Amino acid sequence: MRHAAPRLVAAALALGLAWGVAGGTARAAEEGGVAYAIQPRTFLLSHEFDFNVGVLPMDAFYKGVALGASYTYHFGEAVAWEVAQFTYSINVDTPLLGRLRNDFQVEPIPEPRLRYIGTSSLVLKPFFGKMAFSNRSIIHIEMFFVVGGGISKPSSPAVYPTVDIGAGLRFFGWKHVSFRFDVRDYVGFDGFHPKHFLCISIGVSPAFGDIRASREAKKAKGDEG
Amino acid sequence: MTRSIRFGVLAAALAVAPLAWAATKAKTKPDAPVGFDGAMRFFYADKFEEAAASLFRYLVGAGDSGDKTENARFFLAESLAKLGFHYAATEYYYDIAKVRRAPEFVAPSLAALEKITRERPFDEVLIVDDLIYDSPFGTVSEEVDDWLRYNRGVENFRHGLERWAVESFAGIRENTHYWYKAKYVEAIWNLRTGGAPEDSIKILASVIDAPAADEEVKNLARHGYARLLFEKGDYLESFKAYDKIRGDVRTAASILLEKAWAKFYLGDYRKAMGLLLALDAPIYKGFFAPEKYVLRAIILKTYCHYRAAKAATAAFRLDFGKALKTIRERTNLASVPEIYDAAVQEGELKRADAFLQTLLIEKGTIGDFGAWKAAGLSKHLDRMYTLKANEMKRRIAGNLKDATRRIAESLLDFEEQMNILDYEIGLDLYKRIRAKPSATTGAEEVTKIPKFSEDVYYLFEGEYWVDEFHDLSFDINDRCVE
Repeated sequence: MRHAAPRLVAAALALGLAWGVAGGTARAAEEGGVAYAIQPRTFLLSHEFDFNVGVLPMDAFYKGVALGASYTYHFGEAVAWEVAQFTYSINVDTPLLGRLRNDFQVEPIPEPRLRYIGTSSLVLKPFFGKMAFSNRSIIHIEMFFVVGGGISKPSSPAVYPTVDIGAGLRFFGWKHVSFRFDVRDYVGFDGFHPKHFLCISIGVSPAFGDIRASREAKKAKGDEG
Repeated sequence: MTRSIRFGVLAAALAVAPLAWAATKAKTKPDAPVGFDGAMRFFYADKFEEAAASLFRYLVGAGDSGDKTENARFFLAESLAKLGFHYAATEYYYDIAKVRRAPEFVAPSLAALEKITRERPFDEVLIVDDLIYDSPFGTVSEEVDDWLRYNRGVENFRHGLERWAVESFAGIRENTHYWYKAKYVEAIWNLRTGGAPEDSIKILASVIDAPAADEEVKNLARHGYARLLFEKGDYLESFKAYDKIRGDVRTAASILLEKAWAKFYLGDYRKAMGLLLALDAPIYKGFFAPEKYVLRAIILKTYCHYRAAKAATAAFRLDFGKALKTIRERTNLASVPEIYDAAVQEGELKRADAFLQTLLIEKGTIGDFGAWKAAGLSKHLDRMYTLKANEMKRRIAGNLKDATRRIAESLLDFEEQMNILDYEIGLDLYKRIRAKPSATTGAEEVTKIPKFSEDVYYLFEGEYWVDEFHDLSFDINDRCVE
């Protein structure tokens, strides 16, 4: 189960792209042409902060309540750099350990528990769209994919070099505020042994700056030069 | 709520204040007669259905000579308005303002009428001709006075009494809603009397730029301004003006069609085609726009998309075939839905038809109010709405003859144009290969759709989104050189 999420995302992405390409090619040949609704992107912000709360649900012996924050710089419509991301996990024991001890007199060998993770990642944002909400309003959304690296610190003295892979959905609320739903698999390497820390989180992301405005300013500067 | 309504309701509330305290304790059965006091208890408990039934019962019992007859009429109107029966409320407000038996209710009734006329279709003959134009009212609030002066001015213009119209408008307070509406009327009057279009453009521009003007008036002015620039041949500025129209009116079919024409004359055929595509949305079913087929066929023919151009002319014949057959048979033109819809698409007939539709909708909800049956209010309202609906149908029918004949003539013209286009398409099919691409502007270039950009390209797949109507664009390749 732990490994399924990234594979599913990749498969869905590949299928989606194949479908889109096939559809587009077929339509391009239509008599009379094809129509597009060409609308300016409403949300083009450059500096994004994210504050999130989530859960690390995969370990049967404990669940982590994750508190995280990040800063992301958006280069443009498609690519961004999550410069720094930090997640701290407050771990809560499940009843399983007690039941094993009391009912079955079994003492499991403890696996290291995650304390915190720090990563830096590349963000790809190929999907942007809108949804009708109760036939009353339109909500703009973005789907993004994340890949990066960093460190994770378990409860043991070790520090794991970590690979970070995931996907997320962003719902744009106001011009400067969006809401995110993230699913990330942090793979910490204890030597050659990968340790998966799956984190599901929701967050609020205030953002500043305007990519369009800064491009226009650059262009104006270039014209003057 | 305007100031005068507030004063009126306050005065009326003071008159019945001793009764209001008991409002929450009102446990009287709605079927039982409760008198005026009981009705007011219902009213102040926001039980408007029961209040209306009780007030009507009181009015039937007391007749015109009751102590509280005018109070009952006013609060019955208020209750009906609260429940969405605006026409019935209008009749009661009209009666209070016209007869003026109780002066304290005249101002709030006029204020309520002003609100109704501003927000929804209404009976123009009843309110404007019979009430406003024909009756003096004494002292009224400034807002109501502006409304009265504006309507009297418009009526005077309609009757050709320019000096009186100007006098009426001169009394409207500056920078108010009706002052800016009066400016719009002045711009139209200037055109009607053969004045220079530039003068009207200036007047409309001043309304558009006025910070105090509200969006409703600004949109009205923007539309007029864009149309005048279009007539002047300044299609670029005209399109820009159309593009600045905001709010619900932005999605009006006429605006989309006029924008498509502007883009057509600017040579931006792709955008023109996109706007024409928006007119196919289900929301515009019934909108009379034979031009869209002509424009579409011309553009497609220009790019040598002959099959699609033929499809456009065929679509015209499919959509208007029945109407054209009726015209040729010289039978009742108004009996064809396409012709009727087209005739009531503009001007006085449009407003009258909108009012008729409102009447029918309101009438259809009378049965939802069970408490009214026993009081006889359901029957009374049903009769009131039926009579008015029939009157409106007669009024519309009386004015329909000229309009339907005009529509019929324009349809025949369009059919003629379609025949010519069909012929030209047939000819062009045999001389398809030309020395160079046919389009007159950069529109023949293949649209380059970037993978990522500041603009999002949503491929149109037959699903109409209202927010996209003005952003649709067609990607047509020039096939004339293939």
